Amino acid sequence: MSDPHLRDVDVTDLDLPGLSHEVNQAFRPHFADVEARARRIRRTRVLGAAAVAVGVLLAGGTATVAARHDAAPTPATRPSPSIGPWTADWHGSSRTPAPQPSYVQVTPGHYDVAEPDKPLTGMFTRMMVGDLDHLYLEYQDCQGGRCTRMLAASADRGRTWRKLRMPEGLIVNPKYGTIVAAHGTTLVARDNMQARMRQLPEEQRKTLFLEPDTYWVSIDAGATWRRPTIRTADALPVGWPHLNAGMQPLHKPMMVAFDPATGDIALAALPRVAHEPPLELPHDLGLWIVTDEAEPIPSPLPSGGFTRKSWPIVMVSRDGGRTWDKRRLPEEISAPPPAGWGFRSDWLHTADGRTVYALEKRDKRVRVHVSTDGAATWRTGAEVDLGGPLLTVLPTREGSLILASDTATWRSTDQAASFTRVGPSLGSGAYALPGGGYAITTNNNEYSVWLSPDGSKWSYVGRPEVP
Amino acid sequence: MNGELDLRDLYAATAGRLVAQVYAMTGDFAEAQDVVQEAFAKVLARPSLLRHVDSPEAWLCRVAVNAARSRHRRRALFDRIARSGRLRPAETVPPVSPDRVALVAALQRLPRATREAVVLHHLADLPVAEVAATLGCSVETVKTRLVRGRRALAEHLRDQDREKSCV
Repeated sequence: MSDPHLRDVDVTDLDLPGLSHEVNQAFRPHFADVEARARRIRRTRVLGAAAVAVGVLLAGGTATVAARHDAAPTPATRPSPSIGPWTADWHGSSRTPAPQPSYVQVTPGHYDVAEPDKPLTGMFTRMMVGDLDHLYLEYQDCQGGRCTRMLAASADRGRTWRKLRMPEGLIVNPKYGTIVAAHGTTLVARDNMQARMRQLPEEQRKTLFLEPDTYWVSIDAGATWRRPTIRTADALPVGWPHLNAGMQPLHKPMMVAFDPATGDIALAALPRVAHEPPLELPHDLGLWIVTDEAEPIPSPLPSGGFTRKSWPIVMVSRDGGRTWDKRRLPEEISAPPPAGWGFRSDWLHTADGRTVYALEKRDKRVRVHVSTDGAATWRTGAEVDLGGPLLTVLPTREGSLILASDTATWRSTDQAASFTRVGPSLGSGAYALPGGGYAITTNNNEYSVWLSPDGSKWSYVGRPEVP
Repeated sequence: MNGELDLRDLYAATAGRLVAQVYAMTGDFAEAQDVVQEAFAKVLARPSLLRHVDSPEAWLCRVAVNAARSRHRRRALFDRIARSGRLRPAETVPPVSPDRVALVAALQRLPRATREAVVLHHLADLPVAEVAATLGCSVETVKTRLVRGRRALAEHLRDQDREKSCV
């Protein structure tokens, strides 16, 4: 409805409706989230009214809080004799761990561990770990004015490095890496979608998001690369590691997995009720997705309308996504403040599928919920004052739970009943390795990694000199 | 409006458009989605809010824009107090063509008041008089902002084209 009297610049040249159309297409409706937020708003209103009443009877209110705290179930602790003393050693490395950088909150609860003014060779890259021996660092060599995408690969835990060229046809964004998964000597890289789009004529760009991503794989630690076979199936093959799906066909979000032996790719549709991809957990635990479940709409509808209830759940599939078990998460997680502290769908972690941790965070404190029966029942564990953002959560098969902020690292050896501050922060983003062991990647000013065979004894591996 | 089921239809029909409008306003796709989800949640929590509204989409647009403005103010204050000297966090971008991203970037270079007028009029399709009522200014002021906004947008986009051709 543009004003016809204003003819200064032809507004059709700006194509604002085109912008509206494309963003509309990109938007993924999520009404369950609206319902969950509405539920919180309603509860907050009720709690607000209750708080006024409690204010009048303050002493009674205090007693209630104390009584509730006492009534909390006593954690069934299980001391783990297999957990060794904590050590973090950098001696013998050519580099020394640098102090932690300033972390930047990119979106609420999400922290960027990079100092944006300190990329390595012009890239924001990070060390990838295939297993305790195989390490990879993607970088670029821009000597001579033309940048070549390179890979530093080590097969001996960082003692020696080979400098290899990434595949010739790989479409890269000069700032970012392309490798999306490392599993032993198998690497999976993905063309950068934005860079790929820029290479296409305008008329083809709109259909790009309807196509699957394009991948490259290497099964010899980056020495040779090929385009993998990509197939779509009803379910992902069991035992194939799942990988972050990147940009998705908008009409049909997919789960993606790769064959660790050949690098071939399989796609399967994300379950209709899921709004997030599967969690990044050890692949032998199957697929775990956190989502909301709502009660069915009654038929016929009640004459006065009704309020639909919903609750957070974790869906677990052991058969690649053919069938799913649903387990409810702790009630506090969906409660409005102050009962609920704030939960993110990727703050659910497990090392073995049986002991499961769900974390909530308020300000600089985290609260840990624990299940020892595969998320069927829950108890509330300890609260920890991290003094900063939560950057690392790592449960180990040996029975410990490691948390790290930018200031320090904490460890629990009694299933989150208590935590001990064990040392300075090692880095951000931790994961279990294929074949055993763990990795914590350091911040982007170092591009290095901490490795541990058991989650207790950590060794620093400095990055190679590049380019 | 007839309770939650009607709101579900309204959401399906309009949420994407509203996200586009707030994205154009803020330049941050995640923020835009969050603000629109919150606007619908407010209505779902209290459906009577929409009972006497003639155009629910226009009303929701105003709610979302107001929320985006107050969040922007809060964030600006926070940035001044706690983040002085640091870089701003990255803003999220939806999977749209680079030309659209460039257009939104050009919109962010407009003064906020001008940008709001352009988005409400050209994206939300509000008549000039309604834009004036929404922004609390006169019709003449809105018209002036629209003229300046369109000219500045065209210039910014030309600048971007020139920069690209120099690379």
